[in-house]
This record gives sequence, C-alpha cells and structure tokens, in this order.
Amino acid sequence: MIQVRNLSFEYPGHRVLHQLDFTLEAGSVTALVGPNGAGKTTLLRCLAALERPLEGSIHIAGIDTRDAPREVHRQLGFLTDFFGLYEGLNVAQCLRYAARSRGIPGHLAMAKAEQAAERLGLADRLQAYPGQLSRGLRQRLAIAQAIVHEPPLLLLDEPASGLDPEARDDLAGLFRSLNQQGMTLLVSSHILSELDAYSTHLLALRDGRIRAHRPLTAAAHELHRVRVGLCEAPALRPTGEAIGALAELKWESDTELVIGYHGDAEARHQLLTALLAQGLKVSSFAPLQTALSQLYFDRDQAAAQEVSA
Amino acid sequence: MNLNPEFQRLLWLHVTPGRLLAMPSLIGLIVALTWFSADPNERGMMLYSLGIAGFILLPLFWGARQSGESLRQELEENTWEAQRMSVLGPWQLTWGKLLGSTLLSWYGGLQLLGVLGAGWVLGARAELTAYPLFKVVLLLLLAALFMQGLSLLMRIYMARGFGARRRGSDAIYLLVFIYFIGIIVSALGDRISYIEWYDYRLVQLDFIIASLLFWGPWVLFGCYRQMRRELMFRNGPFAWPLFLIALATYVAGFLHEQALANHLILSLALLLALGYLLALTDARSPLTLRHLHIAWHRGHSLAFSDQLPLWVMPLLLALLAALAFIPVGQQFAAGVWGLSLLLFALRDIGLMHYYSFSPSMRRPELAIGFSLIAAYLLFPLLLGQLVGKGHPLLTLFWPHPDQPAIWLLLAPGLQLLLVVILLRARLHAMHLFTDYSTR
Repeated sequence: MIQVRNLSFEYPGHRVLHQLDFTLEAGSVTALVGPNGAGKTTLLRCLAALERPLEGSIHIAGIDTRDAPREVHRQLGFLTDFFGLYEGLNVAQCLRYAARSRGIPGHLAMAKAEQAAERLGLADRLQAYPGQLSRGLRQRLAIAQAIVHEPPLLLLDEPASGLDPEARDDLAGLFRSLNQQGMTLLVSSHILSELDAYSTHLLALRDGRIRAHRPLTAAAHELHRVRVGLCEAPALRPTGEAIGALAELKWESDTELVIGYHGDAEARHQLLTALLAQGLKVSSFAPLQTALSQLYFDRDQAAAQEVSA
Repeated sequence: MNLNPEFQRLLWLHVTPGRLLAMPSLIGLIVALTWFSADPNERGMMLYSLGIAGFILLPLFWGARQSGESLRQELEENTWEAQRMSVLGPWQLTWGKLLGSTLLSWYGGLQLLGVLGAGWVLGARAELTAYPLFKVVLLLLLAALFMQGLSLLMRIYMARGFGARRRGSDAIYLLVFIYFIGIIVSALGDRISYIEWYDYRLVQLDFIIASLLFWGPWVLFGCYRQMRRELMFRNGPFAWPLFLIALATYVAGFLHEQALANHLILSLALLLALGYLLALTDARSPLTLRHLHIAWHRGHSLAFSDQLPLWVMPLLLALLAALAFIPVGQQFAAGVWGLSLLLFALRDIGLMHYYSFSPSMRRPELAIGFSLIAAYLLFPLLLGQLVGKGHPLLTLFWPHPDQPAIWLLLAPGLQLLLVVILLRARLHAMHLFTDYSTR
C-alpha cells in the first residue's frame, strides 16, 4: 500500500528524515512511534503529499506522490493533529463537503456522509455544529471526514490525544473495525499502550531514522514481564524452575517480584496458575509493559548499548 | 447535482434565506429613502448615483474583500490543510472560492444595477450623454470581477508570510482598492475624457474596459498558478516573466514620449517597485532557501525555477532594463542610476531576510520597517543637515542621478556586500548550506 524509497526531508538546521526505506502492506495497522522530533508528523505529511520531500520517492497504491498528488488524495484519509472543521457548517454539511471534495459524486455524497456519521456514532448529531460538540465528538467528526470517501489508507497523527480513557477505548474499537473492513492504517501516537490494542506492525523512528520496522505478532515470542504482589512474604521463595520455564525472576522485596517469561496470554495464565500452585498468596499480577512498548524500549536500550560500545 | 464542492460550501456558509431576504429589503429601503428625500427633478440622477455607489460598495469592495477572506479564514481556522488534501483541482478551487464567496455581493450588485438602470431611464439619461449605459455597466462588472480576482490573488500570495498578519494585509488591500476605485470613478464622469497611451489617444472609459478585459484573465491565471503552487503542483517557468514583460510594456505606454529610453526608465521603476513589494510581502521561508540551495547544487533546474521566490524575476528584468540603457538609450548615467536603485533594493531585501531569519527576533517586520525608515528618511535628513544638500555622501542612502557613477554604484554596492556577508553568516549558522547526505 505504501512504498517509500530513500526518502529524505530537511529543515534548515537539521535533516528530519534520513533516507527512509520501508513498505507497508495492505491491510496492516502500523504504529508509528518515536520521541518528539523523531520525524513522525513530517513523514505523515510527506506520505499525504502535503510536503515535497528533498529526495526519494513515495508511492501510495502505486501512485507517485510527486506526479499525481491529487490522485494520491483519493487513496487516503489523513487526520491531522488539528481537526480542520468548518465551524459554520453543521455535521451533515461538513461530511457532505468532505465527501464531495474527495471525489464522491453529488448523488452519493449524502448517503456516504450518513454512513460515516453512523460509523462514528454521530448519526443523531447531523444538525449540530462543531462548536456544539465535545472534544471527543469533534475528533470523531474529523475522523469521519477523513474516511467518508472510504479510502484504502488512513493516516492518523496523534488521534487519541486529549481523549478520556473511554473515548480512547472506543477509538481503538473503531480502528480495529476499519482494519477488519480492509483499510490500511498508519497511526502515530505517543501512547504506546493504546497502539498495542490494535496495531499489527511497528515502525519506530528516532532522529529521522528507522529504529525498528517489524510485525508485532513476533513480539509474543519475546520477553514479557509481570510484576507480582503478594499478601505476605512466603516462608520459602520458590525457584524459577519450580514455577516454570522462566527467563528471569527477580525479588524486589519480600512481597514483590518481577518475572520475565516468553509467550502469549496463555503462557501468562499458566504462570499465574503455577504461582498459586506454589502456595504464594498473589494479591496483584500486572504485566509490566505492553508488547509494543517493551519492544520499543528494548530496542532503544540495545541501540544505546551499541553506541556506547 | 454535481456543483463544484467548494462553491457549494461557500453557498452554505454565505447564502442563507435570511440574507437573501435582508439584501433586497435593505436596498429597497435605501432606494425609498433616496426617492422621497430627493428633489423630484433629480430623482433619476440620484438613483443612478446610488446604483453606482452601491455597486462599488457591494461587489467591488465587499465582494473583493470576501474573495480574499475565503482563503484567509481557511488558514486561520486550520481547514486549509484539509482542502489541500482534497481531490479538487487548482482551477476548481479558484473559481469555487471566487464565485462562492462573492455570490451574495453579486446578488445585491445585480439589484443595484437595476436601481442604476431605473435612474438612467427616469432622468440620468438626459443629463449624462458622455457614455452609453451598457459601457458603464460593463465597466462596473469587469471592475468587480477584476478586484475580486486580485484580492484572492493577493491573499494566496501573502497567505504564508506577511498576509498571515491580518492588519498588514488588510492595509495593503485597502490601498490597492482605494487606488483602483479612484481610476474607476474618474472614468465615470459626465464628460468624455481621453488617455494617451504610446501614440494613441483613447477614450478613457474604453481604455479601462479594454485594460480590464486584458488583465482580468491574467489575474485569474495568477490565482490558478498560485493555487497550483499551494497544491504541490509545479508551475512552468515562462508565464511569470511573460506577464512582467506585458505589464512593463503596458505601463511604459503611459509615458507619452517617443524616446525608448524613457519607456525603459518607467519599466525599470515598475519592475523594481513590484519586485520590492513582492519581497516585502514574501513568506521568506528558510525551507525555500534550503530547497533552492539543494536544487542548485544538484542541477535540478525545473525544481530550482519552481521554488524561486516571485520577487527574483522582476528584479532580474529590472537589471536587464538598466543594462539596456547603455546601448539602447545611449544614456550611461540613467543606466547607472537604474543599477544603483537595484543595488539598494537588493540591500533591503537582504536585510529583510537577515531580520526574518533571526533566531531571537519575534517581530522582524518591525525591525525591517524601522531600518527602512532610518535608511531612507532619518539618516539622509540628518546627514543633509550636517554636510549640506547634494553632497556625495548622501548617495549612501539614496541614488541622486547627478552624482558620479562610481559613487552611485559603490555606495549601495558596499552596503549590499556587507548585508550579504551578514546574511551568509546567519544562513551558515542555520546550517542552510550543510550537506547531510554524507552524515
């Protein structure tokens, strides 16, 4: 769906993107992560044909962004960090305009607008004006505008920022649903746990370079950690072998330990069962990091070690 | 119906049932007030004048303002990026904005043309014999279209720099409007007036109509090209110099003298003034300079010409005009004076960039304004008091044609050199010339 070759972008003073090369498969949900200033927003803007790269090429669904920027726009929706809502138009008009301006013929525009509103839970607010909506609903309207023409690719820049946990959860559900319907998503966010809920791939940037690009399903075989709290200190601390095949076991206090293991949710369940079977009075059992954040930070540490070595 | 989406959006925003009712009600009330308060013998003339004044106020002033606002509001409300993400083409966006934002003013304008026509039939016809009614109406219609296009063009050009500050761009717009209205009103007098252009003596009204018919499409084409630029399309390199040559040729015609050198002087002055104004209102983005630097070093001539700020071409043509004095006009002194003016302009533009790229300056335009006032007004006045008028030192601040050629070139040339050194250091500090490809 997205093919990026040798992409560079510069602002005076620094190169924001360094010769990026990557491909995103159709049907994937890629989490675009990285610290502030890593180049995430610039990359999204280049992909959306809003910025002209210094060098390199970008193909969206086979179309070169330099040759046919408007054709590229038919293929994608882009939610920017500011929503771009017309305060003077009501929700129905905003969506109809978005549909028409993205190539939907006049006789289909209203139906598409209503479908998008339905998808985003705005069907009962078609006559409301953006100024009358809460932040969460404005966000939904902005997303509805981005997907009203049902593009095969959706780019989202910090879609969950400023949303409460419930709204974030709804948003994650929406992204999963859009993905199940065949849409490819590239989502930039600082909130790694949120991305973990729906991402299939990770694309990590740092200082404008790709730090990691891989499917997240493989992360299940990598190291996970849980923090286990106990009601009381055990008379005898069980060994790793006694609990199961653990990668690491570290007692942080008499009533708290961190356990590293390989595997998925099933493995975690077996771990808890083994702890209880050892007679430990478990009071809490909390995965320390999500697969995505763990992967992201582990890779960061490895890179730091490489640099210091 | 497949209306242009941008046109339709602006219809939704501006053409509401309330406004459709309010407009004729308001015009009707003003007509009634005029009718009953005027002397019965002057009613026709009063209505005619009301029609013209109202038309100038509605489609010309308000309509032109609205067409420019249609873009400024997009930038202010952060919806412009969404429009750039649409699949609407540059021409669709241009005419959608132009007609959609001004439709209500045209609705009122057409009613006012009705008032004007009524006034003509009821008495103005007998008093005003200079021009037929259709020419007056044609002039008003073309003038309104021209001003609306020009306003949109100015806003698109200034969108990212000077025009982002509302007061500054409003002031420029108002100055242009007042100047333009002055031309229109002067052509609508009750006596036939003439204008001399090159060797022709033409009826002023006809000349203005012909000029609007010629320049109107250029303005629309300019909007289209600027819109293309905003939408990441590349523009060809020939239209802009072609326009400048046409404009310089047109303006030079007002100097009804035979000598080609005098026409060149006027063309040079126009090109310098235009280049200066464009540089003053340019966004002056370091990113553009960076892209220019890279395109130049890689020999990408199309990318280079596409990124080139608009102010460069008029100054380049001004240089050619100044150099042409020497062989064409046999006027060495005038050519040197033209070059001196150009050096001063380049010095100022260098300073504008120097201030604009300052990392600590929050309002560079204030520093630019202060520097220009000091350089062209305060220092020359002070120095004039100290050394007396006509002293060669005064060429440091303004090129006096009667000064020696060496002074005329050295004074601004050395200042320009100093500004270039300062600017180059600043650009180096910004890593504008750094090659990252090897890092």
